[in-house]
Amino acid sequence: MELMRHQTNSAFVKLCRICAMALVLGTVIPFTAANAETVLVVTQPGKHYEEAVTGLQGELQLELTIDTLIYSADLSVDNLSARIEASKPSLVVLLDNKSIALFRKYQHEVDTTAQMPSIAFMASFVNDELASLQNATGIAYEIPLVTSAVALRSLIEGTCNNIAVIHRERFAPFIEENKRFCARERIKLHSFSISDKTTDFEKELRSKLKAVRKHGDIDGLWILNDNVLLSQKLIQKAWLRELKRMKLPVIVGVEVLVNPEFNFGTFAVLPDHRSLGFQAAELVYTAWDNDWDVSSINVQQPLSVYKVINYKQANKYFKLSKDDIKGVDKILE
Amino acid sequence: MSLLTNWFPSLRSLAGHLAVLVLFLGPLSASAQKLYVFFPSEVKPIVMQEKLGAQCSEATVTAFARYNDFAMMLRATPPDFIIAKPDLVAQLPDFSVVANGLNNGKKTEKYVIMGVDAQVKKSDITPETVLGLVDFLGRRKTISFARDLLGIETRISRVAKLEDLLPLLTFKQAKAVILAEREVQYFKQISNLKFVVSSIPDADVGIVVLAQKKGADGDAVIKAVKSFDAELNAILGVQKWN
Repeated sequence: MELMRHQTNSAFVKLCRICAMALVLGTVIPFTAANAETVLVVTQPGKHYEEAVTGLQGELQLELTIDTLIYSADLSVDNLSARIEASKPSLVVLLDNKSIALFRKYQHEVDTTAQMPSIAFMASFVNDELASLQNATGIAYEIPLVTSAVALRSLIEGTCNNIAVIHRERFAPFIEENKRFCARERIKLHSFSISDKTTDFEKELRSKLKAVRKHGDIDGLWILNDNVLLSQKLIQKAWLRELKRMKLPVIVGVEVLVNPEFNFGTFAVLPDHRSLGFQAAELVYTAWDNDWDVSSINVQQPLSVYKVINYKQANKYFKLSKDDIKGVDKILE
Repeated sequence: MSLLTNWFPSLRSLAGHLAVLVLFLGPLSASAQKLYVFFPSEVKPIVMQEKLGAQCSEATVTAFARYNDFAMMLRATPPDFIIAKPDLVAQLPDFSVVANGLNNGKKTEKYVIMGVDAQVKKSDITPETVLGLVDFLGRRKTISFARDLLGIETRISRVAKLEDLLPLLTFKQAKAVILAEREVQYFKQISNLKFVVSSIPDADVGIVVLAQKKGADGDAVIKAVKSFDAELNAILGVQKWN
């Protein structure tokens, strides 16, 4: 039974309604111009984006005017340009790769000297995106392994000091970055790479999983959110078969993979979208303190996460009690 | 004909109406007291809420993870009681402190600067130094809190939750963090980073208080809080209440 179902008190429901109302009002009616400076937020429809914008607006709206523009497929550079002309923001916040792509087009076609600074978040591999965007910074969306491993290590003693990851070759730079982060916590990340040119992913994956199993030192497994290696076929024919034999704690990045019915992941560590919005707001304030100069602001890693545990598996394999998991946000049984 | 006999033509009718009134008001009056808790901790608010609720059945307990949520609900649906840090309660003129949490007999605790690999002393801090701090007073007042503690204006990187101070240090997004000395142990337990702690002279900060809304009843709630067991008191950073 999900722990979150315990939150049934009326105060919590009221809070959700107030937040939702605040979000809707903020979307439909730009905050009145009592604040001198404006921030334009280009966001996407969807629950996680709404949560992020709630976190962002909650922090900014007392001091800045927030204008929110919801992206749609037919939103053009001209539309964006007109909106920027109308609301005259000091900075633009971009949620999702599509918003970034649109803003990039705006920079190429309209703001060719990149006068308008921007902060991007909730985008895949934001560093790569920002490489072709000027006067921009942001927050990565992928949760670094070290964050997940430290959290799981605190729950299951004696684990997550030697973690294996099987990945496609193209993710090698991402893996190297994670190795460096993990090293600070004295966690060793053992990577097993599959060539991008392989013609038989099932065979390759099974071979790597066997190598992980035979390694001897591995005490945890990290599974990337890679839709090629996490196809239904590979989950059934490779992952599930081998995971049963390993009995390692498995860290995943999507909640569905810790569903106790599948007996797949042990621990899912997900972005806390509301807190991501909070973190983005802090970046906005930093930019404001710097007279809207973002050039000296490095891309940040996400700070806040939401932890979900497959308690059925964690209790069976690792003997965790409910008391041991007080710091977990959601328990699935 | 009197007003009473107009509305209640018979005693049976009166009794029936009174019964309905008691049934309707009864449950409301039993849970009429509201207690809000905002105390940043490594313990999740839902766990804190359950434990507090179990030991304070005199009130409906709501625990908050974030300052903004707490502040919003405080305005929308003011509670009868609050458990929070005294610096926060001091901003609420409608509330008065009725009990203080004590640790080793003291209402205050030391705050420290915690860096990684090297000591970060108060004298090392410049206006460009970035220090992490949990947001417990809202943006401006949290920044003022840090400035008053350190005696210097510096760049504060606020986080929403206590546990978020760790990635600030892991990813070097802050030079050090400011926290209560008792919170250092939590980070040492979960992380292999080499933490180095520096004291801040005269940095005594109130731990936690129970505050009552002016005009609210509540001897029962006060008594319940003062009877919290050791485990619950430890979550709130104290040993007892006076």
